[in-house]
Amino acid sequence: METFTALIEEGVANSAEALAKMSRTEWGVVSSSTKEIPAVRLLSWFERSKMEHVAASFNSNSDFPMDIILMFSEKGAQAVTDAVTKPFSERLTRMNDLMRLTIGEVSNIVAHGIIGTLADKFDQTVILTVPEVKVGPKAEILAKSLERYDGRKDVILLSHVDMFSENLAAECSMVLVIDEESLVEMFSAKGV
Amino acid sequence: MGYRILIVDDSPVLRIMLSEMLQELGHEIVAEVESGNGALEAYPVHKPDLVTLDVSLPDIDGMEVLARLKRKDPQANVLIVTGNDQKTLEAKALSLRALGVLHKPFDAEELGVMLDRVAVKKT
Repeated sequence: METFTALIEEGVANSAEALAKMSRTEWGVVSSSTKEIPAVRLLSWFERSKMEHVAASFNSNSDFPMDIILMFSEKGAQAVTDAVTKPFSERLTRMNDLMRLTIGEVSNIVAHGIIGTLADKFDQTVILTVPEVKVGPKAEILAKSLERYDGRKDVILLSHVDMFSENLAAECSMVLVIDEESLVEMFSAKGV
Repeated sequence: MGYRILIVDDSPVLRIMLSEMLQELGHEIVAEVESGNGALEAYPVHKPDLVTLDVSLPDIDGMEVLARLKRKDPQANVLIVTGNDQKTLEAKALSLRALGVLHKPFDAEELGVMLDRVAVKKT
């Protein structure tokens, strides 16, 4: 799991670069950590925050079974949306639901930054589903997103990234739900 | 000379961004669709010079759409535009005779450079 966690951290760094490019903002990463965490503890931790978050969920194809949920605080989501959409016309900035749609697309790119690192390591092709965006408190979003979670075979990894720019701050939590058996098989096949 | 372009992407945000960049570069957008089936229906109607095709789509994945477009029209010019930068995916796209793969996020300059490369391949 340590090797896998290191790959995730590498992917997080790639994703921060992608986010910087998309938002034309130099984001510094204050802290970033990835750790395995039981579902009950994660839900309990998320229960502490009642603030609204904007989250995008993805599933991967069957060769590399994984669920990914990215959560931005509402303030962070708005800051990222403003930065990403600023150079474009009113056709974009006047769209209904602009924040949800933008966070869906930003999360898509961020998630691919992480998945790409893993896929390349294992010579796999992973195609993610289109994002499903939800708004609500973190625990509520997570509970809905964990409907397919099976505690007997799945492990959960949490990455938490705090970022700042000159004028903005954003906090992003990423939850990965992975089928442990498939992961072990892939590591074995690769001789890792 | 500008291309007549069909944009295929599930994200309305990305469709607008890409459309505005392409128009600034002097190209015409003949249609924007959000799905693989939408692309397969729009292609014979508009007969675009170029299709920009996302990989993650709500119905059929972009690689399958690419294969089907090429079966319908072996001369179809398809540029994959995706956040997915995996090496095996790029190899697969090129083996299916995509003109190239442009990775999100990109700016208008990078898009222009890629279209110049595509133009070289078209001649």
